[in-house]
Amino acid sequence: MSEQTRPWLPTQPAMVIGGQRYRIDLGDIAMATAMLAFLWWHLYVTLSASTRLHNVMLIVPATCFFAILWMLIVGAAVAREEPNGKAPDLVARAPIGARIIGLMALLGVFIAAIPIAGLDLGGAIFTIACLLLLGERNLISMVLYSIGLGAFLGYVLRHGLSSQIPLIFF
Amino acid sequence: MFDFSAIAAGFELLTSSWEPWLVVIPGLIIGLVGGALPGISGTMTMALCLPFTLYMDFLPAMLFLTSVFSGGGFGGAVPAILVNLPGTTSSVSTAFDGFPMARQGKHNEALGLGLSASCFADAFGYVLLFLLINAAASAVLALGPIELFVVALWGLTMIAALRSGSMAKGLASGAFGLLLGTIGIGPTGVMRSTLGVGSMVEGVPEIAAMMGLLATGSLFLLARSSFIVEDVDKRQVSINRAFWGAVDVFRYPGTLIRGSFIGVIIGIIPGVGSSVANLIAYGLTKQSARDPDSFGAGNPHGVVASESANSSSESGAMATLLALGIPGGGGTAVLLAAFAMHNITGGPRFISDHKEIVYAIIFSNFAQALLMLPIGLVFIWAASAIVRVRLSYLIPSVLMLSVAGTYLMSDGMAGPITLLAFSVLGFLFIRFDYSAPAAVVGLLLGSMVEGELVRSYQITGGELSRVLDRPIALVMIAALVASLVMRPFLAWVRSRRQTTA
Repeated sequence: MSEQTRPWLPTQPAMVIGGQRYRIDLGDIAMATAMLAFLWWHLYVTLSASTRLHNVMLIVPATCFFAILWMLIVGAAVAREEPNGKAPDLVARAPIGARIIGLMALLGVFIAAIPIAGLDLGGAIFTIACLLLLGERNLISMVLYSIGLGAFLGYVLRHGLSSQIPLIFF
Repeated sequence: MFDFSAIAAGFELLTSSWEPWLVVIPGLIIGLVGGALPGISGTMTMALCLPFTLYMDFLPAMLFLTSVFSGGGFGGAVPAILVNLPGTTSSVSTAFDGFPMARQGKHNEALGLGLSASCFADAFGYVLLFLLINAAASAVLALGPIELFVVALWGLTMIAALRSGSMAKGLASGAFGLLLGTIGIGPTGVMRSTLGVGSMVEGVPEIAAMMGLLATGSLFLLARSSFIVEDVDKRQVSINRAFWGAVDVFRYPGTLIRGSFIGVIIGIIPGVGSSVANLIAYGLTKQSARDPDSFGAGNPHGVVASESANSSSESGAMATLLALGIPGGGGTAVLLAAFAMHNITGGPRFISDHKEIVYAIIFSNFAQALLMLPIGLVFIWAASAIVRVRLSYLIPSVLMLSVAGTYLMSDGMAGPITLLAFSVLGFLFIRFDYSAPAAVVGLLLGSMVEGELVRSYQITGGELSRVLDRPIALVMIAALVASLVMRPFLAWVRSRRQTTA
């Protein structure tokens, strides 16, 4: 059964309040709460640095405004369950999928490796890895494209823009 | 109102020799390419070209840089429409409807629409500048920090409140972005939430964050598809359809004129410029539309409003630069640097002492706007071939280009790291129905909003009643409140109608 056709999602557990069953979108609440937590931390750091009015003039009211919006968002993430087990006011999201998580991970590794592998060599390896992840299987075109892209970018960055970006071959 | 001898002298400066014009077409092409490359941007292209203008006379140097400026203004729309990656902050709202149009196979039409809206608005702006250069110089002096604070907040609430989906999440996204924009050194010189990272002193790297939130976040979602346009029949590159898309702009005259006018007005305000102009024009167009829910799903009005406003804001920014010597944004700051390189000081004295050059710059920009139409058509024909490229090749290429671009912009790893963090955040924003554009606008305006708020407080001494003495600010506050309450009010009216029916 796909996520779209399920009456509820694993992130939407049920809760009984006053004899009525409610579904809770935990993912939605977690996202809003993470944002609020970050902003509270920012407010705390700002107040710790200086409590002068000029320093907090925007941050305090904007954070309080966000906190009010957080309550509205959390309120909307709790929806009454109908007798058929569905909570139509909540959004059923498709699973993220391995490709997307893999792509994020590859981007992270590529960026972390720039100081060591350079943008040319690191970029070529990153391109091959992405092509493989995204379903390409023609080895020759994958290798040629990756090397070509890395070489082109390396040449332009070093000789066209005279940048100090880390490169291995240029 | 007009100094006819200066107008004639300006015209003669441009027509007495063909040499100054030699730099215009290369300038337009360089601007288009630079604007279209994510992370490079028209402003950066202008900055890269600046050293070469040292070897030119003042007028050719101005013609060259303003043609790069004009080309860059539209260039940013190309990746915004084709891959949802605004090349510049001024193309943010172009992506809202341009990319959905591209996904529907209407990329040729969207690019044509954007190009002709850009050219028309550019020409319109310079005609208006020609007519109003003297009046604009004095009007801009009437705007103080209160007006600048309100106009920036207005731009933000407009985009946050008028999106489809949860209004609370739209406003929360805007507030979140606004607060992210306050990271770094504050108005009192205090460091805030920099985590001890040196590159955070000046705040979150804006371009990298913008690219992550708007572009790479949605690129991750594209990993599920094989092509930007899934339907093979719609995956055609056609200069003919782009041309008819360009002609189609005249089917939206109200949107075109309104966007152009808003662009000029917002462009005049220093420090605001095209980044806000395109959002306000988009928001107002959506607000006044009969079918606001179709915005964000490929409504051509959205592309026309955004592109006309960001292009005409160039002429508004030029008005402030020429009249006051104040750059309205990055592009005009480079022009001001070019002034200095040629030992010329911008401002009221420049206008009175070199009126013929001012008119020559205005006439040449008008001509550039007309020239850009055929050059831009050929450019978009070449650029739109991207819809035929498999996403498995396109995604790593764009990611790699974005990483390189953000590294260049931040001159270090701060850019790529910011890109990664905000890419994940951008993906989560899409997944949980938050508004990435509102967060971007908040981020871009955060430090400006805070600075103007502090200055407003200093000027008024904390007395709110002093705002009542400023009619322009009151009108802007009314517009801000209207943009906040309009949607709940319309929803209430609709529900009442349904109840009574």
